[in-house]
Amino acid sequence: MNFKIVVTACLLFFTCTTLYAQVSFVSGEKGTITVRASGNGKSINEAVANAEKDVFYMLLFRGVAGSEQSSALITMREDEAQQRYKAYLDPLLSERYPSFIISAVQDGEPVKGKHHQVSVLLDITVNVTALRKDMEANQVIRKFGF
Amino acid sequence: MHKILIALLLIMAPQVYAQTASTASGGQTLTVQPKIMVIPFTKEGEDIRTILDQDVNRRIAITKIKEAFDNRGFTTVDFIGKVKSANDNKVFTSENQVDIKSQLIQMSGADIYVQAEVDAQNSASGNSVNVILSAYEASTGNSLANKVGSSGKFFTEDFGKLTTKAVEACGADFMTTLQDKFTDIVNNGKSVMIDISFDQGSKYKMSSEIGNLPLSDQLEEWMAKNSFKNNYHIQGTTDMRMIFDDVRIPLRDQATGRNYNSNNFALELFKYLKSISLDPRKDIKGNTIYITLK
Repeated sequence: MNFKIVVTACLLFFTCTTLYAQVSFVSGEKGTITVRASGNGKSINEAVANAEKDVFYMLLFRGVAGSEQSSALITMREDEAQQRYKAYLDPLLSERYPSFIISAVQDGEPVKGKHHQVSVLLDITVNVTALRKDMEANQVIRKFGF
Repeated sequence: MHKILIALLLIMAPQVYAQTASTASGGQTLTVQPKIMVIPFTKEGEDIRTILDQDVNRRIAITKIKEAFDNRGFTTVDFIGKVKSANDNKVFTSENQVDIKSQLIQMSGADIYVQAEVDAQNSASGNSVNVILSAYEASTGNSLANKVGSSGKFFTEDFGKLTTKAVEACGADFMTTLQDKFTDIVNNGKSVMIDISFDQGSKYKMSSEIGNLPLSDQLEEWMAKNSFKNNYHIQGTTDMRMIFDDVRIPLRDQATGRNYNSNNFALELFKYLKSISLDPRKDIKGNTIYITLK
């Protein structure tokens, strides 16, 4: 009986988990970057927000392959950075990130999936220069040089 | 009389090294930034002093690269200004282009120079420009960043615009690679070169026993203990000369937190050589330390 409860719980967990959005490079020039990102959520707004947050996550910790931002903005280990700069990163990834978005254009209609999940595809343009300067001002990353 | 003199010295000494009120900063220390100069690449037969006068595309390339540094809040050393200053002060002692370039970099005080090569291509399927950017440490020759940018082919004679496109294609990536290398320098120290040799007529050689070890081994042991994170490299040792072509020193004095430079490190080495009864002379050019032993 306990075993059946554990297995059921695991199945429910894995089928309800929101997958990380995919982020791919579209174009970039003069301090901005445009990426195509997909996001999932229980509503269109939530899906859009998740897509946008994942773009920032990629910029901060992974980089965007094929773009001028192919290297992550934060070069230290992710868990170390999350801990050391929690006071900066938590508000950035929850509330402040929209101020660095120049545009977010939905591509196509939202797709409804299983378990009331909605998926959206967006072209998001981010002001990377402003983001970098904000991080430098808050001493999350070093200014150019030593 | 001696006691009076000693008392006077004790009173005056703190004032000799006291902080001037006009420049007091409350103990704040700003890390000294590297001096970077952007220079044009020159081929055989071209003169680095005059090439920019003749080639607007190279001027555009250099300006765009400097703009990339400006956009990151970093000030570069002006190449044209330094050429003029060098000409005015008759710095160039030979017409050999390799020597002229070395002398120019040395008198500019640049720690790092970025070389920009512009290659314009004409073809029936369109014109294009390739730009090769290379950044080097002036003292050690270590390569810091290398990128190639291409404008792509267009049916245009505006090579200036193509040059701009080529630089923009690789500029940001180039700056990122350079910053990664700066991070390595911040964490693991910057490179200096140390060249130790003897005065003519010196009774010492590298094989001379000082203490119970040959001098070259004494020097290596000292370098092993005093280079930052034990990071040093020996280019070569002969009986008359020993060259450490890459010795890492910290950006900040690990004891005081103050800026630390090649002068400070040279002084430490100087003091050590004096302590083992040698008679050294030090000469520092940028990040290259020359020690001559009498």
